Amino acid sequence: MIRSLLHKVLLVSALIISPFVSSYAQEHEHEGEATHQEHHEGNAHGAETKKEGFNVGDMIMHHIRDDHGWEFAHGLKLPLPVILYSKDRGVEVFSSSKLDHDAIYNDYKLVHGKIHRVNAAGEEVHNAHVYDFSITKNVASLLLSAVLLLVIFSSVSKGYQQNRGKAPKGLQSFLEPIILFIRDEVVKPNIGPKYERYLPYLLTLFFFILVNNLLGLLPGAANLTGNIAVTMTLAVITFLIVNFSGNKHYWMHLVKPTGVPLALLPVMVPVEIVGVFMKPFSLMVRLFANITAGHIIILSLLGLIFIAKNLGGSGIASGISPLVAIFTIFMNLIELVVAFLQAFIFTLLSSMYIGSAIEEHHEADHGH
Amino acid sequence: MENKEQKPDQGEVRKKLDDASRKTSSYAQYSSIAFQMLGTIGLGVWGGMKIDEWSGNKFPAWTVILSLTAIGTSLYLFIKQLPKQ
Repeated sequence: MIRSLLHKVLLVSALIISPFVSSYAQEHEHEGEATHQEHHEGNAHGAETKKEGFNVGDMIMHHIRDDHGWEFAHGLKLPLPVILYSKDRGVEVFSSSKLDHDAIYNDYKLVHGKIHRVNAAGEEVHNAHVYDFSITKNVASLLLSAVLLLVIFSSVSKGYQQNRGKAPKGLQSFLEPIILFIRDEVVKPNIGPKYERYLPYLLTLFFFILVNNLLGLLPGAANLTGNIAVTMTLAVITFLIVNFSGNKHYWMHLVKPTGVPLALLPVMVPVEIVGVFMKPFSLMVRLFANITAGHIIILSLLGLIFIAKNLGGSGIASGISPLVAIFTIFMNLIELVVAFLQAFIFTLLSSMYIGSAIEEHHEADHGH
Repeated sequence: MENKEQKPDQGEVRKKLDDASRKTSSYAQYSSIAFQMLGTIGLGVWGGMKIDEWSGNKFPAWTVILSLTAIGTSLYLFIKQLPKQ
């Protein structure tokens, strides 16, 4: 577990430094793959695969990236609506299947996953600003999870109305311990007596992240919580809640930290301000990094089969397949734990940050 | 909602649970600090590079100054968040 976390940190710190610069990212993915292989088979041949036809880096990026259209399996692609806005043409809506296979539709073309305006010769028009509001794979997955959450929790709340004073039933009895756990072990100790105001947000946060983490593990699903824009939105909401509920102590601590000589204030105040922004930043990066890394590890494990086929033919590929399958299942199980753990940690840290912004005295140490 | 029957004989389990959740909590806290340090240093280096690019210096003075400052800042923020014991 710790070793896999270490792998993830190494892998993803490399990815963060140059996100989605494919050539650079590829090398690091191969590195990650190589470290894995060393444990499994004792030889690393990740670097040699580059010249072959199958490109693991491309395969992985294709799977973890957002996309117009939802590809469940090879050749089975659900087209999604493309919604574009440009000043000269207004709103345009069409199906994403019109843009498949590098086709040009209405002067639009997909270049590296982004929609660009092109001229008659098929060249990009650089001065045309096209705003893309499309329902992409991630947006569709987000909407799906919202519907799922609404269905689950309206059934739970109906359960509380029907079984008032009685033991919980069905889904309700499955979720009640989790809800109580978040309330009693996470939110209450960290926020203190005023916890009830923040409970709805924190519970929503927990279940939103949990459901999306779990949805992301399904084959063919979108990688929603591994998308930095999504985790950024969550972190920004936490940031806003923390700062809007911050009390006098919180703000005074920023402007004039206790026990700091006056001459040091010009140095310390920027430092404190940087600290305020770094807390949500760490929330954003951790969730993104952990989920993305999990996907990358599983995909590189599966990619090993194809690499083996390129190097040694289908005999070797089918030979290592059972081994790879076992490791993939193992990683999948770990990812189930990670899905819970990351949702829990995001909620825990959010409530810690809220708690430290509203606590009355700064003697109390955080998180205990 | 609370189950009163379970409370008395659950002391042992409760203690273990508390222990586990305290451990996870400190794990969460420290890993959060790590990402904060990463972010702070990254911000410093990026800002320094941007200023150097903008001012057209030959020697990347701002990058050096700001990255070192950022390391100091990240260490300060790290020490500040350690539990007071």
